[in-house]
Amino acid sequence: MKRVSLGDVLTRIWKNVFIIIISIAVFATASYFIAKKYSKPSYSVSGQVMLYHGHLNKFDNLSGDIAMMPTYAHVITDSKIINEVDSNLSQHAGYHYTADELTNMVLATPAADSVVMTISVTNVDNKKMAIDIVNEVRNVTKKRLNNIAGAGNVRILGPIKDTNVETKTVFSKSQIMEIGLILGLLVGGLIAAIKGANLHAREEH
Amino acid sequence: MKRIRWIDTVRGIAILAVIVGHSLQQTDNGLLNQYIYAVHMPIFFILSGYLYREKGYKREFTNGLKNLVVPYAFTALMVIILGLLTPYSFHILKAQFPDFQSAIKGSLYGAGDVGKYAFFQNIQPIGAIWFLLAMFLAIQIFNVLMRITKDVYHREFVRFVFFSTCGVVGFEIGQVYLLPWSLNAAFLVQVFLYMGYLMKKWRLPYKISWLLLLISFGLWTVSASQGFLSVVTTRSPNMLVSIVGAFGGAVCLIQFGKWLSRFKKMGSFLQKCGHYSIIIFCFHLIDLDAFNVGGVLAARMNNSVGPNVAAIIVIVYHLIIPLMAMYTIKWVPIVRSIYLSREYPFLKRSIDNSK
Repeated sequence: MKRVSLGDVLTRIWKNVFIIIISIAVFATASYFIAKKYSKPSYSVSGQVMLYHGHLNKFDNLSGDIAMMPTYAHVITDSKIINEVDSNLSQHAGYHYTADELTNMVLATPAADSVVMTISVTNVDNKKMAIDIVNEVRNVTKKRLNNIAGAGNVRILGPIKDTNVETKTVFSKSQIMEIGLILGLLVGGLIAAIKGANLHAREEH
Repeated sequence: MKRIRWIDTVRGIAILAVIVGHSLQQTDNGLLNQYIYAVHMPIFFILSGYLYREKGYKREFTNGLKNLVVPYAFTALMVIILGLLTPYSFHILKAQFPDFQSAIKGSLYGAGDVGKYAFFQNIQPIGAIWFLLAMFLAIQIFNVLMRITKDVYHREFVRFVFFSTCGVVGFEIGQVYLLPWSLNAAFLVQVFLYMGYLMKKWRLPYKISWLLLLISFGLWTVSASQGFLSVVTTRSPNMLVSIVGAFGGAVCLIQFGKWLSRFKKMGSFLQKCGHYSIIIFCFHLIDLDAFNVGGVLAARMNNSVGPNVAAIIVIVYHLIIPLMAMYTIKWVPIVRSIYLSREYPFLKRSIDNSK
């Protein structure tokens, strides 16, 4: 049997380059539609509230308030507040989460040595809904936290803007399409090589 | 090699259109100029694709150096020298480059227009002769792709994909950077070169019917009415429309050229312009870059007689230097060898000596 050099293999693959082109086109088209269907972005956003007793400028209970911040953080993500947020939001068009799902999405994080609490929401599939959820958690916190945990005054800090929203995708559309292109190249190359080898075998016979 | 008359005529029309286009930019920059810009650069590449014959890499490279890069270098040198003479010219000359260093940098970079340049900043564009460097690179790329796809199965399909991809790559790069020697334009024009190659393959210039002519004019009109096509910066309101429009414009110009070839005086004048198009082109660039007269004339005429009459006067002025060069360069040794290396080679081939 005649030995085949690497140059022969590459020449045969190259001769069938049209297969690689078609393969790339097919995979790129398929990955485009897959990306369109499955690559859904998730949105995260956060807003702040301030929790304090008495007058802020007198610093009466500041150290006590700071010490209580981790407790308030737990209460904010507790079902007593989250259920009310869920109930209020259920009237919004496009809201489809359960209270349990919402509990996993909402996070309350105290800022270090401060009475400011950051309330954030992650993995929301709608930009506007992400903002609405954080605003609603802040509103319910303002209304209910003092009754539940004796947090004193709750002041909502600055409004949330569209530009504050972070967008994240596990695989972006371009990443999926790049994978599709590379797969197309590999599969096309493989088919071209096999086709070239078959032709070579036939020529030998 | 025997010259094809109608091709020289079309080239002649195109090179005069370049001068008219640049003149109109200074005066009456409207729809007529959009028609000109839609086709005046693509047609040169389409004709080159039409005349393409496969050559060895080395031969193609050497031919390109002799016929395109050497004329470019000489023309750039002329612009630099005339720029240095500006202070002694009684305002007749102008300096394209602010100093010698930027002149060298600008000439080596070969940018055709202002833009964001790769690798360097503050490059002063050399102007219209970007075309020579882009043509040189474009032909090398085209020859490589034609050769490597010669033996593949479904050859024309593969070539179509390759040349279209080159076009997309050139267009996309042009949106970000203007590369040295207008490499982005060289990639974009692969589409036009291949268009010309297919025209030859299908013998299209000999099959132009009235219907095809009408459709082609329609495509050209759509392309022109959407705005300017700038090949050097790979910019257009819609590049796909511009590419299709360039095909339409080329078909119209080819038919027009074939028709004009029948007229003895007009035909032979245009053929001469086409034959010596590189001289017209380079001396037009010298006129634009190094002479102050055109700009001043355009400004004064625009103010005094209005843009329409000013356009005619400025066109006539801009024709003077290139046409004078066309009629005289062939009598000037060395310079004629630079621009017309095929007809007047520096060194006669040894085969001629041996005869």
